[in-house]
Amino acid sequence: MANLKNIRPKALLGLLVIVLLPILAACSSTDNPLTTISPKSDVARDIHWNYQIIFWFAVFVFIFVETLLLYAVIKFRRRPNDGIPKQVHGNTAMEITWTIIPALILIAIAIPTWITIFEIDDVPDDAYMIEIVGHQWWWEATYPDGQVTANEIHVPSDRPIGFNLNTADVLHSFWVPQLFGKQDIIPGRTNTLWFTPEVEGRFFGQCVEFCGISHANMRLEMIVDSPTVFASWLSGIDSPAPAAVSPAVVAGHDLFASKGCVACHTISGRNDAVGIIGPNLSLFGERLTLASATLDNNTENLTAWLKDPEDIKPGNIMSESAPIYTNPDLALTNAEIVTLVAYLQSLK
Amino acid sequence: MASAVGAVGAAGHASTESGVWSWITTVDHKRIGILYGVSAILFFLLGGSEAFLIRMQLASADADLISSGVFSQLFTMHALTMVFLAIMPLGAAFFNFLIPLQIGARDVAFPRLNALSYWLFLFGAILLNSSFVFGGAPDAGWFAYANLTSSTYSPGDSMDYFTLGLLVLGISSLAAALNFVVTILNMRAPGMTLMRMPVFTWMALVVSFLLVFALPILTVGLIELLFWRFFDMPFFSAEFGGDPLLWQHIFWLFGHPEVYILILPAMGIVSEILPTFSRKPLFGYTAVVFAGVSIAFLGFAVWAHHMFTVGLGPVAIAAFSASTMLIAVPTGIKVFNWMGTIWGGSLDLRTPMLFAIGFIALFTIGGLSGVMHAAASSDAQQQDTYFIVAHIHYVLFGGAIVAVIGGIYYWFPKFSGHMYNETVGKINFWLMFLGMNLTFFPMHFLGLDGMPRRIYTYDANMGWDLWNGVATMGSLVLGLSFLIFIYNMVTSWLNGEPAEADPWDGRTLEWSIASPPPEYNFEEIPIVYDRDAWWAEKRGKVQHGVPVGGGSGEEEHSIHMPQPSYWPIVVSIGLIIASYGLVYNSGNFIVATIGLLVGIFGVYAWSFEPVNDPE
Amino acid sequence: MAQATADHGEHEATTTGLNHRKMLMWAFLGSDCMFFGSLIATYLVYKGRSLEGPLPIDVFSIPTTSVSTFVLLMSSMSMVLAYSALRRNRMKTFRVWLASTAIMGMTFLAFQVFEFRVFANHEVVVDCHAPIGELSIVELSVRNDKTVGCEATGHDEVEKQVGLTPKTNLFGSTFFTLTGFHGAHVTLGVIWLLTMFFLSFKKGMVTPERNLDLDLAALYWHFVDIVWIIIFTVVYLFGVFPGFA
Repeated sequence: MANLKNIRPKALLGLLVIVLLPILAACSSTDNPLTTISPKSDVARDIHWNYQIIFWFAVFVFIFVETLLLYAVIKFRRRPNDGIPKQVHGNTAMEITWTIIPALILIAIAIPTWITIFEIDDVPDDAYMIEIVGHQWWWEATYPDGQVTANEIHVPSDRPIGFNLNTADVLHSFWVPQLFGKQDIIPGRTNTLWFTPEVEGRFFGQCVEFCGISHANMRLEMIVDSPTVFASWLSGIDSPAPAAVSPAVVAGHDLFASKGCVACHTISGRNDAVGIIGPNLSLFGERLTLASATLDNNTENLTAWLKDPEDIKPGNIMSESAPIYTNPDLALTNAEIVTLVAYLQSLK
Repeated sequence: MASAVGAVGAAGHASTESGVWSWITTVDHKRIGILYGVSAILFFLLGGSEAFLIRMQLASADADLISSGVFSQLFTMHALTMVFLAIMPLGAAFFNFLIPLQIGARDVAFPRLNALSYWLFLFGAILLNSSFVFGGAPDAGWFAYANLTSSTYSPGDSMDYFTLGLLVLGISSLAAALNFVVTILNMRAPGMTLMRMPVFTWMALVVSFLLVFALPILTVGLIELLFWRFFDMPFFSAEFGGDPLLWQHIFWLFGHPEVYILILPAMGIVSEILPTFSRKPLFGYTAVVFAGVSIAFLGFAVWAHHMFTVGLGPVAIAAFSASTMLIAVPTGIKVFNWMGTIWGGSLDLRTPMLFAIGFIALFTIGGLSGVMHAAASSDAQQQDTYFIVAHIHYVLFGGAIVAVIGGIYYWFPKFSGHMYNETVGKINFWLMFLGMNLTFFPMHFLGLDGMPRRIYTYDANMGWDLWNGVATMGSLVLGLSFLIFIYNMVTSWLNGEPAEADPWDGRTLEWSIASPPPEYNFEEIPIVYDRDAWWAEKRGKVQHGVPVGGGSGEEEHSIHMPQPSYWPIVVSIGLIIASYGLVYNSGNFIVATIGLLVGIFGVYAWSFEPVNDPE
Repeated sequence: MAQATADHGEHEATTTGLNHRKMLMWAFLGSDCMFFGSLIATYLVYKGRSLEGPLPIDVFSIPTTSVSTFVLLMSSMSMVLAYSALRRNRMKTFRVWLASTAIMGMTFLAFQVFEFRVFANHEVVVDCHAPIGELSIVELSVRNDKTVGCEATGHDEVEKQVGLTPKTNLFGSTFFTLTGFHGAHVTLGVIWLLTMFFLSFKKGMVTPERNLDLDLAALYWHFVDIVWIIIFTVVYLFGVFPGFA
């Protein structure tokens, strides 16, 4: 090898990249809400197994090729007095070698890939099937017994969960990376997806097919509950809304009808609130997030949302077409918002 | 012979006049090449600025710099600009300038058609970008998935600009591709068999065929989209039983060959630079050529890997997984042959060589991440995340752009007649290499951390701040490297040292003539006895070309050059008027018809225009 | 050399021996194959997916279209004869055959316009006593129509206009787009042929030495003809024969 003085910065930088790559590979955190490398279900684990095999092959090839390149660049760089090098035109044996070896590596990658593709394809017969409908820009989930919820999708932890995916408008893609790989939702067809939970907890998801200007705000949470917690949550949707207690809640209850909210939103237990254009708000007070998982569900955020939904989720149907947001005469006053917040938070 | 080409008196038609009119009516392939190149670089700066705005918005969580509507326009137009208005025309610039020189011809087969290609490209590009001013640019992504593009979900004119802009650009590319097919197959100098062609010319031929066969597929898709939007023909409406997936199939049946349309010229450029600065012939010429050809064929058999998550069923997915992985084989062959080329050579690490080596290093990364999502099951976690963004930028920036910039440096003396500044060139390379990796490598992490593409905002608790911040810093470095590039080009073109005919001890025919080449290129059409014809000629196998016309003895010994023509620009203007007429049709098509008539009139006048100066 | 236009190319030495313009035309037709291929593919993908009628079986009249197909086929023959006449410098014969080619092309186009109009005004007549299982989708919809249907009117036979337009259903969209673009190709060809016909009266514009001009037009014309044969088979014949429909 040449003396150090002649080694160009490129060499150093290249070396740095090579040494750093595997370290950098650890730079993705498994703590991120949407991490793809911390599987928490059987399906996600299968995918991750497949990914890891390919990843390490890729690292190996990367190091091999880049080292070779770097070595060649340093070793064969032009020196003074260099003559014309030997004019080599090729070498058949080498051509065959570097055709066959990559082909073998690819076969080694293809086999686990095929295995995984078929393994994660079919929804098991005993899966608990939930109907998912993607809307611009929120998620609707309907349970086998007809209960409906939005954006915060509870599932029981003790059996395979399956989804039938449909859309109310444009293409979406359903994805909770720690639980399953994504599946696009296409108008006119019903795609399916499934997984078996391994642990209980909250798992974050997001729409991953561009679906219009609030695509970034179409998020969701999947909450894996123990079977008993899940059962009581589900039956909570069916039970009527609690009797209005405080005056604010009563006022909010009435405003929800008089301001036209009922035209689009359903709240279980209310005969007047059966709209299906917007998200179902049953048990809204229990939800951890609002505006399709873009904000934590607390008084401050809910007030902000009711005041100016357009600011939080540009283009959403409510701020575009609900009279209270399009007709200044009907706009909500601050006092009205306070009562609506109180009412919505009482929905438990 | 190198610098012996002086003024050839007989070449009376060789007009070297300057002035705007001479550029507007030019049919000289070198001038058209320069027009293509300069326009493409300007559009590259535009697309780069769009990317920079995107990076600024994403630099930190919950940023409020750009509204989501504008953000959608920016990422859509960034992709369209880079693909159709920057990389493709940069390829066309190289094809135009170099192919006739590399094959020993005086011009392309159809000089006026060539001018038409350029003007249609320019006007199509302006049409597409004018949407920013007239009510908003296309904002449904460059892939424009139905049904987001329907008149219900994309009301307004933006998607009509998309459709018509791409149709016009498609006609331009098709005309250029047809022209190059004929030029390369039919205008090679005596003795230049197919397997003696420079690899760059080979790749240009492959790309031209890809365009000839892939573009009509996109054209049909765009026409269907147009009819859907204008005339309510329910091509992609699920309510009528139509399938939005059909658009995806059509788009990617074009779109994947398009990827190779973007990268193969880059591979050709690298295959020229490496041998020159290694002073060795390309290792495994035949293998490199056939690898390029097989990549092109495979390019038509892998489109569905863009659709792994749409629900095609496991058998189709497994098949497309396999076919996609297969592409790694010819690609690997190329990489290893490039390695073989520098192995044992005498590497002159000048700017073009640095870019060529940088290309191999970066393209390898893009290739490997490509294999990672060729595995459909693994792709289920990567599709539509920043992992894919990282991949395409390693392939298209680290690959195509880095090679193209290297190519511009390499042939700069030939284009301009001046030498570029070597020191500035090296600074340019290192900054670009650094900026490129800083910008795009962290996107791998972002992708694995689940950051979806095309989101204009994200929450602070997602943990994406750090790498987004690094990427944005990287884009600053990248932007700086581009300014340095522009600076180097402009100052060198104005004040650079005069270039010799053959400054690099080159191997192919373009180095056998003066820098810049005279309008007629070759005083005598060379005769080719070997691959690397010029290298062979310099190194002893000296042969002299036969003067033009000497073979048949019938024609006069003057060099006929095609006359300038303004009909190409007239036809282009007609088509653009027609396009605007269609965008703003509001039920009647008067303006569109007028535009079409202007175009038809132009074609007629063109057909009856004398090709050669009557003497 | 001096006398204008593109004859230059015919004497140029080329690497492959094939004239530039001819190679250009071949390459263009290759591209056009992909164009029609994609349109036909779209048609086939959507075949049988229309949610409502009329469908091919309702509107196609194979005898009529056979006639126009035959006319177009014959025009290819007269095109060959025109070319051969030109090469032998029999200008009168050449003009006769060229004009008849153009006229047959126009006849084909007239048939197409006629056919499109008939489809757009398609009348469905339903015998109210026919077994329901034998009715097509569109016949069924007319039979059960709330205002003019069998039960609504009580007639033995009912009829209703159910036109096929590009907007009607997927069949309409794909069919009119495919055949419309073919018609546009034929129109372009007719204009080309007529241009050559009128140029032939101008001295030195259409001559045996410059037969390439006509050769290119002929190549294009035959291509358009072949495309039609494919369309006729795939769209029309497969559209009505049981087993394909």
